[in-house]
Amino acid sequence: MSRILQKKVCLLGAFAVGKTSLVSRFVNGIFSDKYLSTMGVKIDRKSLQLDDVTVNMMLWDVHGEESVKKVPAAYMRGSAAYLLVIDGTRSATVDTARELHARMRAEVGDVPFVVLLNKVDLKDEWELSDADVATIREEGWECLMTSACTGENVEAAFIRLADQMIA
Amino acid sequence: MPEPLLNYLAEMQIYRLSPAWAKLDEACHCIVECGGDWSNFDDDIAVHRGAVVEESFIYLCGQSFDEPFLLPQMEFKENRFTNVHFFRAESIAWLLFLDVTEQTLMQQLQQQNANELSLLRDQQRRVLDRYVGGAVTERSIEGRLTFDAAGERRNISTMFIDLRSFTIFNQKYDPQHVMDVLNQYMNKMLPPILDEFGLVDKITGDGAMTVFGVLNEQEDSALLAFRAALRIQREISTMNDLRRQQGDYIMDVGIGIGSGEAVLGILGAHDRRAFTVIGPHVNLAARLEGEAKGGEILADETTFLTVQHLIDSHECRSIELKGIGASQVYNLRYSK
Repeated sequence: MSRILQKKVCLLGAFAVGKTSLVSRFVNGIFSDKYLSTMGVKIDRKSLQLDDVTVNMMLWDVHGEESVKKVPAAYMRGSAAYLLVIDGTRSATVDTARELHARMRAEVGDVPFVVLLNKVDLKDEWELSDADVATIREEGWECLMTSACTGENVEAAFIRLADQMIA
Repeated sequence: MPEPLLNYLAEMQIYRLSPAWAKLDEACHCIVECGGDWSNFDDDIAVHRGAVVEESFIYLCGQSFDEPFLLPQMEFKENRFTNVHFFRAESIAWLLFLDVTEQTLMQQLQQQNANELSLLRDQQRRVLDRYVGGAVTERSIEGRLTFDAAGERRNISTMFIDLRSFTIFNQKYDPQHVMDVLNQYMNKMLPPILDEFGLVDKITGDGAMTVFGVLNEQEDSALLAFRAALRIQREISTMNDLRRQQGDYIMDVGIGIGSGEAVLGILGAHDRRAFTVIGPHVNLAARLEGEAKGGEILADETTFLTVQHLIDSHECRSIELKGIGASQVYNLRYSK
């Protein structure tokens, strides 16, 4: 019997890591290299069909975390899953992801999440070394190298998350 | 308060926010009553009496209505921002949507500028980091790396490094391959220098001129330079062992170190300026590097006296150096 699920999915990370671009690539299949700072939360929707389950994702593209502008807990509550986005060209964004992950855990508990090491198309400019990536993986975080620019692994990341939500 | 003033304030504080509201049943399952222009907030929204909350506000799926909440600056429609309030007043549950587009767009402009500035600083730091090392970057950004343009006297050590047999290699192989291999060697030679707070003053294709004692004045510059030299020789030796096994072309490194007083300053005019070091030991270090065979570290007497407790043995010889004359040269022997 087919099922339809409605799930809230948050995208979290430091500012300018590419959250909005990832959603734009996933939902509309487009990419723009122009950076536009997200205010509050940008809402989008996308449905994924996984066998007999339709997952209607409510995508909460949350503004970037900054030292002076923290992500409010109210945005996090009610999330069924989340994507933690890291910018490979800025190693400081790993710490931000860690902090957000801890706060998500406190707010919503042990829900599925996937870590996106974004901007893999700019690998030559990465500050994150292979050893850094290995360390992140050793923490048990499931990581995918993504590029909103080329589309690499973008759909795969959302499908992986949906898979985990229906499991 | 007179009615016209009340109306004025209401217009300014309430109606400009285009409020839309929904009174919910006790369980927050259905809409009991509603008002306001909901199309302001979302084109697809269907809010009407008797509608199911979860269906009318699908983006609120998963949201708990047990406690009051405020979701600021929700962008349901492109460039339209909404504050979503949920609260209970006299035990009645209310959802209130307020249009905050005007204020949010103003904040966005400031936010955008601040983020772009931060990204630019980050980018500058990365570029500096890549070319001159973290210590210089940190001091440059904090404004702590300054020199008197007229020149400043300091005790420093200068180290020249050079790849032996590079000319033959360069002539034999494709330029792209030469560049790739050169980068592999540079990747072994530069980190030890940066780790010991050395300044890479010039990269000369197959070698480099580096200065110690500028960024770290706490330790003797000769010690810093020698530690860097030792690590370079050891790392190059390990890399060469591997290259030898793979049948790749091998290059050794010759190193010369001189220590003493020098004048540090900025040479040049207007927009074309460069950091420079002038002193007798600088030329001496360059000559020593010229004399050093692959794998050797040659030093002047000042450097030798500072680092002699760190080496296994040494060989002292007098050499006629071009432009300098007869000089005592110390070949610092180390364990591999």
